Amino acid sequence: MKIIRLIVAIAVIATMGLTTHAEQHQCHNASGCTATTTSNGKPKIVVFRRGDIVNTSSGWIVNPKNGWRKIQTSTQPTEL
Amino acid sequence: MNVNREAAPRPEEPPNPLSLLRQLVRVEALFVVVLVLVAVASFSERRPERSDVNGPASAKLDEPPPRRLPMEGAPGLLVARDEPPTPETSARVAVAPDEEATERAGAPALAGSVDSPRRLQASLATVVGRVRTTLGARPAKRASVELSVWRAGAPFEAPPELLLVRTDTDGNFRAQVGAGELRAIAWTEASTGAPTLLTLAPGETGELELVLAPAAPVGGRVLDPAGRPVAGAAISFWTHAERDVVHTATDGTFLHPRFPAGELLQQVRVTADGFGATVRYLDVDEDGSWELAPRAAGEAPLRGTDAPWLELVLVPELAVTGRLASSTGAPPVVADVRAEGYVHVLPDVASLDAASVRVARDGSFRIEGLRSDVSHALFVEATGFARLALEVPAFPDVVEFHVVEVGTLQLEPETSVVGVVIDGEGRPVVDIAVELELRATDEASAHSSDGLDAGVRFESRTLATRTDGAGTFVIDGLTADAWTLRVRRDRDALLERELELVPGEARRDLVLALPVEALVLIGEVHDATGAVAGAEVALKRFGDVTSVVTDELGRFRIAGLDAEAAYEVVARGPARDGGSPARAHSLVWGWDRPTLRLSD
Repeated sequence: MKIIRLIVAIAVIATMGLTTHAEQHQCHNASGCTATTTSNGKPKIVVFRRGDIVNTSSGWIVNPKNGWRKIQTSTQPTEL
Repeated sequence: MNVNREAAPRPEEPPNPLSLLRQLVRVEALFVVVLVLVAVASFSERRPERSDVNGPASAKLDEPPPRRLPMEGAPGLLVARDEPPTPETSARVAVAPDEEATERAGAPALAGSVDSPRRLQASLATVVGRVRTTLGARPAKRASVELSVWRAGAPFEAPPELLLVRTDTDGNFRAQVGAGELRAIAWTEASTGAPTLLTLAPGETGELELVLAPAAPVGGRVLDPAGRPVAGAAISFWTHAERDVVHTATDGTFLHPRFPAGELLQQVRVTADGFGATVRYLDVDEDGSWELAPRAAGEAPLRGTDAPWLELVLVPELAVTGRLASSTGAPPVVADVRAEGYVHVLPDVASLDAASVRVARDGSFRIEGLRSDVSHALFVEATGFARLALEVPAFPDVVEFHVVEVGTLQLEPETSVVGVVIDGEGRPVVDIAVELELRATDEASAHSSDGLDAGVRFESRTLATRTDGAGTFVIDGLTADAWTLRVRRDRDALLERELELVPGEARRDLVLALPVEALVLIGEVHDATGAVAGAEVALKRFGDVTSVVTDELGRFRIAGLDAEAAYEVVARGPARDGGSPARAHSLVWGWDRPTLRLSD
């Protein structure tokens, strides 16, 4: 059973790595949104205002449940 | 009449739970799919869900087009600049019958609007709460409590209604607020606490308990680009509290006593007359160490272990002036101009720098309060005319207040599209997203992205709205171009139509039929006495999908659902005297026929 769970975890991580390319997400929650990043090897939770945009290419982790929506802009994602 | 009706058969049985993975096969490498199949096999009870959601949970709510974003200089914050809500000053404000001290901002409905008293009362809710300290759980006497309310169905860019109340000697407070999403934050002279969120229905009474912890004082100095101190600048930790503002002294120094230490990175916001807003990220740990995060790659963070001391340099303010006129030279009757730019606040994070104004009777406008070091998009919306967008470049070298004149902007007559969305049985589809995307590609232009200019522009080529209770929609202000029309419930477009619009044309004959394979959720809401009319039924999947109201027989109908994911459905009965509405909750699939039974 442990092996199956390990395979599951690897599968999920691999899938996330391939499906979450450099994307821009905008905070749509009226009362703000949180996102997670890593600083000096430790996870950091950051508070955003409605309208703020994050680019996930450098490791930001956002969750739609926290009010993030993927958006389309006229720049290349790496520019943000 | 142009009807787009797909002939695909309705599925006889619920789809296989692995169908989403089939989509994955198209885009992902084969080895990943094999691994995921193993994953699904071990969790066969769970179905995958999609991450994107559409629209707010309100019928008749216009989904704002992507280019309409919230403004930074919200009215509530402007009030806060004039009257910093320190414990010393907040006692000067109006006193409500059941509140010891109350201050409102950005709440036109409460400050005397055209609403009748009965209607106004019906849109209100009550919040009662208690504030205590973490040390000994003692009641926090005379604590300030900021209540921010975002009304259900309000536009995306609408600022919150702000209410500041004080606790009594037992640490209790009570206030009437607008129904909607509520955020409460409390503080005393040297302590503050994490925000608490609450959703309130009209007539509902919600309860809160706020806990305060010792806060970290943050000092610093605000300077202009030449290094001179700026007096009267307003400093707030505005991702935490809107109204907890302090101002700089004549030497530009400030001391804010309440940074929420040891929790999250918060945005420090500085505003001052003649300067654009500056936002920085500050992190203060419980051990007193702190870090002011860099704004761009290559910039070094500022760190310390003593009390934080920030040197914040402002940028000159930019104002944009111009005039609107029709082809005959006449000014528009009603028009709004909005400027939007994005500035780096972290290397991969951009914050909105925006302002908007109503155009004067002679067609002139002047937008102030923008940062001069980032470029902005200028959007014009005038009744009866097509929307207009243009670029205002950055002026990174100016050292003082700068005005840019864009001249006379000529408005073209608008075209409009009116239609109705129906489901596979010919019934109107309520509260579904309808989008129009401009097919021309020459509008997107290169943008500078030097320094802190994020260079982000939303595609102003996409407009969106939602159908009303009769399934109809209107999109106006369109240019005479080629457009692609899409109807969307959750993520993928349910149907698509190409439109060629000519100048001044109003297309009023659009009947958009959803494909028959789009599922229709039909259900009923009951209580102990039978069917409940007028109950609110909200559908959620990673957020709000739609919201409808039951008919006189307690029935509801939501069309255009995805066959490959479960939805959360929440029913709420009508408001009752002296109590909160009864609720019901269920997890459903699009083909289900649920009966939700309300309970207290």
